[in-house]
Amino acid sequence: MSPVSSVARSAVCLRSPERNGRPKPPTLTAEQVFHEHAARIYNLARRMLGHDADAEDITQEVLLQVVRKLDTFRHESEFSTWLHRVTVNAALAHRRKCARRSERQMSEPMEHLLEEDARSASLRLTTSRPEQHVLDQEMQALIEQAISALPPLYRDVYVLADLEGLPNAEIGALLDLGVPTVKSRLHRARLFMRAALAPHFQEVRVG
Amino acid sequence: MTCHEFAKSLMAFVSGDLGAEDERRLQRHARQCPLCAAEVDSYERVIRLGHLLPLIDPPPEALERLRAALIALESAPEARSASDSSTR
Repeated sequence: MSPVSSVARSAVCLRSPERNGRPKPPTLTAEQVFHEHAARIYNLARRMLGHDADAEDITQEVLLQVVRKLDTFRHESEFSTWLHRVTVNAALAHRRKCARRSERQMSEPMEHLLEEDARSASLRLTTSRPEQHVLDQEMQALIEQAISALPPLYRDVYVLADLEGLPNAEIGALLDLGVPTVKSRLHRARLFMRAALAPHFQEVRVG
Repeated sequence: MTCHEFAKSLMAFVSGDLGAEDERRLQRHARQCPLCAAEVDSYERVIRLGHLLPLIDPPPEALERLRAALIALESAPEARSASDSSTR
């Protein structure tokens, strides 16, 4: 039996108790939380932290918080914003606690990449065939690797903007940054990504 | 406009954040400069790749452990209740 179906079978229905004889609107169940949000939380944490085990720790921490506080949410947009905030905060706290990698150590090799003939890299990109709507596994792995290699302060903004699709103002609120700083870091992150990925586009070129 | 000036406005250009006159200036430059046109193309391509990247499938064993954690929470309703009441 798959983990998901196991949870579905044993899920707790976290409905609010009746008040004044009238039931409150049904809320999410633990089953729904697991189905709808576990992978999303895991992905955000995995891409921010770059480690499977760390991502699992954060996912568990956030899932338990979600299930404990389900009754406090009534609107999907409110819940979605909160979910991002809790996950980002947990990932940032985890990173601080572990202090595995200093930003200086991470940024040096990437700075070197940027300095390496970015112009010719961009030309290689434009001469290759446009990407397909579905990325093949090789390209996915290359992109994930490039994300992991980003310095954390750029990676956070990049993941939230270009992968999670959050607006700059919301990212600024999550990371306690001004919008100009968000834009600056996002631009820098995209240049890093381009420098890292450009050489590989020719390799996966078709035709 | 120089290529350096173009590069400084690249993000705003791609995001549509420039005023009409500035946007026209950059468009004119890009039409005349293949290198800067390529810069725009590759930059936009990186953005599209980020949008296309699918979710990573969490490892099955990780899902199993997460499931176990939720079930453990189910078996400790008093902890959940205490937490619920503290948030109200």
